[in-house]
Amino acid sequence: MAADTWIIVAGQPGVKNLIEIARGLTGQVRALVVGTEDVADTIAAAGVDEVVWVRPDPDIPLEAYATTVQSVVQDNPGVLIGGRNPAERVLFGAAVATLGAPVFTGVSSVAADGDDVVVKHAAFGGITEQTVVISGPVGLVVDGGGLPEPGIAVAIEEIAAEAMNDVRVVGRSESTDEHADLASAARVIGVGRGLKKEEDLALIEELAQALKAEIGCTRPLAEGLDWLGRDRYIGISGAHIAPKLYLAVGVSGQLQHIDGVRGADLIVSINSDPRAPMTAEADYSLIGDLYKLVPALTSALSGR
Amino acid sequence: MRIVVAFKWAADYQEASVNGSGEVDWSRARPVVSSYDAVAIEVARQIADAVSGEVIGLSVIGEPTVPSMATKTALARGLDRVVVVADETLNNASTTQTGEVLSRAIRQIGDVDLVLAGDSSIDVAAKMVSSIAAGFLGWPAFTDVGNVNVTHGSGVELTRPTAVGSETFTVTRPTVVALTADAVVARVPGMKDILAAGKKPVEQLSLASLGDLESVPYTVRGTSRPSHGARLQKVIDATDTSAAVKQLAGILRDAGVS
Repeated sequence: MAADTWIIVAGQPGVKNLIEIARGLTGQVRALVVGTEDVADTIAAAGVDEVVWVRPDPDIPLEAYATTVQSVVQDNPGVLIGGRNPAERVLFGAAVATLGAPVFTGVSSVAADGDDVVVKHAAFGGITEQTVVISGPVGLVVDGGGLPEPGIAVAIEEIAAEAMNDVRVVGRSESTDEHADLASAARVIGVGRGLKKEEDLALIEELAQALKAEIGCTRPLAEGLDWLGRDRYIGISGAHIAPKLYLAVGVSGQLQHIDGVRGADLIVSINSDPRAPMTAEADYSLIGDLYKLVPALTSALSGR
Repeated sequence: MRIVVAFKWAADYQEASVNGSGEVDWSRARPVVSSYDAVAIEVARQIADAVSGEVIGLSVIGEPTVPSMATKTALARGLDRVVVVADETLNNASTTQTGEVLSRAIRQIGDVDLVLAGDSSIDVAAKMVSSIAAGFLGWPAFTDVGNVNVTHGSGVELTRPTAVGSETFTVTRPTVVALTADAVVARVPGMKDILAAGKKPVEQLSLASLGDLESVPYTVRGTSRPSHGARLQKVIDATDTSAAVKQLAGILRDAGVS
């Protein structure tokens, strides 16, 4: 199979890693963009060979264009690459079903081997790495990795957008919280259950300010306790980050969480329990009370 | 109204062990109906109770016979009946195969208005099966949904978080919905539920009855243990707070991250 590639873009242009993976293969790199004109323009200048653009109705969720995506991909099968956001996964899933392609998440490398495609990926929540060989279409789920570098733009081919069923947005609410972009942050502080009360997040915020870091968290803090927004949850089903520094504060280090931070250059853990799995996953671990260590570190970094 | 809940009888990958060459041993990991799936069953039950609907559990199992624990555990959580596709050839079925088999079984069940699923499986954790099943069905799918409301006409009203807040939209049925883990608090089955579960119908569909699958197979060439053991794993005793912090500040400075 000539390894031509479709990158499925849904709503947001932060698909740097997807393009890099596609560039590792030999064939043409095509992007299928379901999103605004701005998104299509950004992708057209991102180093792809071709852009096919579906312009969605602003009051219709992107997922409703799954059949449009399917018809495009069906005419031109190949390697499919999609991101991890909800709409990205749905449109990618539809494309994958059309081709009957197997899907792999946590992809670390892809290479063409004659007519086959060889994929190395983290399987079963990241507890093992598998090398798989596919002689046909294949789908790869790759973490976005932020905005691609702008370059020379290719032409955009707009095609008719046909929404499925009758889907219509009837209400939107905006939270006042600023949207966190953990994937492109250079420094990220991750907070876990070691933090005792929601109010104590103030300590973390001060440290984040001193370190110019974004704040992320483990799943319970975002989905059970609601202390932080879901966009701040780091882990297998949340954000996958690759900062220069990941500072885990009161994080036990469950595999689900670790899977999201593997890309960090330097990992530091602050934890009172030396036996916490996080210690084995960190470059440096401070074993002690975070309520003493965090304020002291904030002071030290602020030069006070 | 007929609701299908896709659930998986699977063990948490955190309970599996991995040897030096990356081979996974599941023998000591106990399969369960995951908390993700329990949420989907609970949401389905609440909808069905409100509109006098039916809740059918649907599962794909890679064994020739259905373990009775699997169906009983799911039924006790509030399903009316269970349909299982059990076949040895589905052992280690790919995510796409699982999605395709589910889609075929949903067609076979017939007249399905709504398919609900959990956010993720606990063994593979790809978060793709519901979208793929919808792709095979040609139905729309929505994931990360926190609230499902079916009181409105021939449609369903769904609410989900967005990057900036939340959005609510209506969609005509049939549709596929994957729920967030915190959509509702799932009930804990009582003795009465567990006893009643044993009397509810369980139907086994043969894979052959669903027709030839279109999913492309793949071969595993090898496994390896993930290389994240490459961390330095240095421990700094922080009994002396200021000394430890000073040392860390130096490390961060040297690494160029502070």
